[in-house]
Amino acid sequence: MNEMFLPLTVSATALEAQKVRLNVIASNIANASSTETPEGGPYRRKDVLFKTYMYNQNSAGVEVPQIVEDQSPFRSVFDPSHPDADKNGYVSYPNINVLTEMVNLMTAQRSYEANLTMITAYKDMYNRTLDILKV
Amino acid sequence: MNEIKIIGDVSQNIADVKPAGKKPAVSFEDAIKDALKDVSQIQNDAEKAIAGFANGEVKDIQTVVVAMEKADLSLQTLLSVRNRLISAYQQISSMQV
Repeated sequence: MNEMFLPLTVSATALEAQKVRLNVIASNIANASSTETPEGGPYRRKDVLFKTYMYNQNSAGVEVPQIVEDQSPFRSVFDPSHPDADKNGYVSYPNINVLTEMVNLMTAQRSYEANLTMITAYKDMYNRTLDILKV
Repeated sequence: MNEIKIIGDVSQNIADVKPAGKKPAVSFEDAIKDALKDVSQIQNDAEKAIAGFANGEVKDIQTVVVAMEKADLSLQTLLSVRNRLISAYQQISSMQV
């Protein structure tokens, strides 16, 4: 019987993946100007990887196998008064562009909505098929 | 084309259905029992998910919602089949002799 509800499970994995992505974007925006981290140095932008997870031949869910760090260079800003400034007076800010993060946020949000719509659509189809039995 | 092929397969399966009198591979009673067991299992899963969410073991809402959705749909299926069976029985029992 669970086989029948596989579309729901598949959509649920996508919801989970988008939630993880939203979490990462939230961290990126929150730390858009963090110059210190526990590991030292400024915060590095994080990004999610999506990986296909096969339930069977036809049903592919999605999972987030790992969260990767964006290796692009940090933003350098001249500010000698900043406590984290180097000897030339430059401060390294995270490699985060808030606008890019906002676009990613909207993509994640739309993707989440698309999967919610998928669940509703499957439910409607299922219920309408059951309506055949009603006399 | 694929769909048409699948429909073809279904009609072949119908041709394979054994006539009444001979004992089928799975008895009607067993089929109903299995279905009931499945539905009950899904209901239990949903209950477990809700309890887990309430005490903080399950952290994601979508797991709970999907479990509840599965429980709802399987129960609807069970009810539809049951209602259909009862109405078929009533139609036969009220047949003029």
